[in-house]
Amino acid sequence: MVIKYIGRTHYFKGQPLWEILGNLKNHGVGRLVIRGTQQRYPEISYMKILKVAGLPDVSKHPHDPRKVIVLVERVFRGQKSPVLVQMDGRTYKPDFMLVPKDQEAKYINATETPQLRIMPRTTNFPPLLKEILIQEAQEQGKDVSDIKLELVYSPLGIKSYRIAEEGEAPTTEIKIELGQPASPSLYENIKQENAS
Amino acid sequence: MIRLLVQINVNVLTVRNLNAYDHIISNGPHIQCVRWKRKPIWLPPAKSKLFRIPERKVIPTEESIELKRLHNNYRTYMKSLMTYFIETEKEKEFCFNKLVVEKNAQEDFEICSQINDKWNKKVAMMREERLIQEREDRQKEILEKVQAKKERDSKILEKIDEEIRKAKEEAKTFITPENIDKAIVNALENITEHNVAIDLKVSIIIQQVLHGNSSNIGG
Repeated sequence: MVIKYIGRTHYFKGQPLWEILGNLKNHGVGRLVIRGTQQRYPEISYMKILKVAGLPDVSKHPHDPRKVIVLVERVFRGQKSPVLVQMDGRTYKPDFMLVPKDQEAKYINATETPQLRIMPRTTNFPPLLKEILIQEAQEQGKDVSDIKLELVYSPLGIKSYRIAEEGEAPTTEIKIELGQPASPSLYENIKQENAS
Repeated sequence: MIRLLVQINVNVLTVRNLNAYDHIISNGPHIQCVRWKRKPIWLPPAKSKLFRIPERKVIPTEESIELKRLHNNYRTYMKSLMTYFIETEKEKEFCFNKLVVEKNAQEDFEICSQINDKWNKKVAMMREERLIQEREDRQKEILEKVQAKKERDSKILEKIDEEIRKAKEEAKTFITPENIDKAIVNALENITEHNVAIDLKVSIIIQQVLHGNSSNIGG
């Protein structure tokens, strides 16, 4: 009986990792695997398999994909992860593609990395809150000029940006306002003042 | 609570499930609830819509880039703001922490006691001066009183002495048991009439009282 699935489709492109590694000699240790969703970036992203082990079958249906536990060396957008990554929970996703051996050199030798952005350390408070804080500071006799919101960035993952050092000018800005548009053509015909 | 009016064409199952939301829906006759008038979220899709697949939305690249930038900025900003609020609240809580409150109270007490000690010293100095002054005044007063008493005593003594002198002088004329007979005889011999009148020329008019035994004889 042919199963016909009805519903929304996902963005994945490829196979579950189990299906790829199960067909390879030595379970694909030393081979390169890429994620379909990471192909939207112009830089190279791949994973090098270092160690493979199977996980017990807990699926309810024989057609459900199985999971494997793999240790990989991860390169994301041309930047190599400083630590080895263990993948288990996401290996069931049909989003993995094996890199043919003749193309491996292209991935390994790629040097292109995204342009490093320098993010600001601090920014202005929202207008009303700023006024309140200035008033409070004046009541307590503190310095009004250094009332700035400390920006919080995620410490996880491989970043294509770094936080500006003290006194360094950031290349991007984070404000409560609209800011510098990434695609100015969208704002071309707006007659309102201070649109950008 | 006003019961929901069962509309025509509404599934019985749906209506039963809606009963829990009567208080939300029917707060008045003029309110039309948009959200809960149809299928509750936990019911399976309607049969007519079971095989309907919504089309995937296609967002133009430049729009998606701009939207991503705005979303990233917004999330970073809001996360930072939230962190700021949480940290300020934590600081406030720390200020009301028991240990900190006790410590602050202790510091406050120390400052207060210092000020109090200063005041006490000042007041003690003032009191010392006042007490010295009072002591001096008291001594003066006592001395004055003693002097006054001496003077008074000496005056009284003088007075008494005089009286004694007078009495001694008079004592010679006193009638004693020895000279009583002589005095009686003398009194009987020299009868003094004290019942007199005085006229305008201050001449004493003696009227002899012959009748009556009134005390015309002075004793």
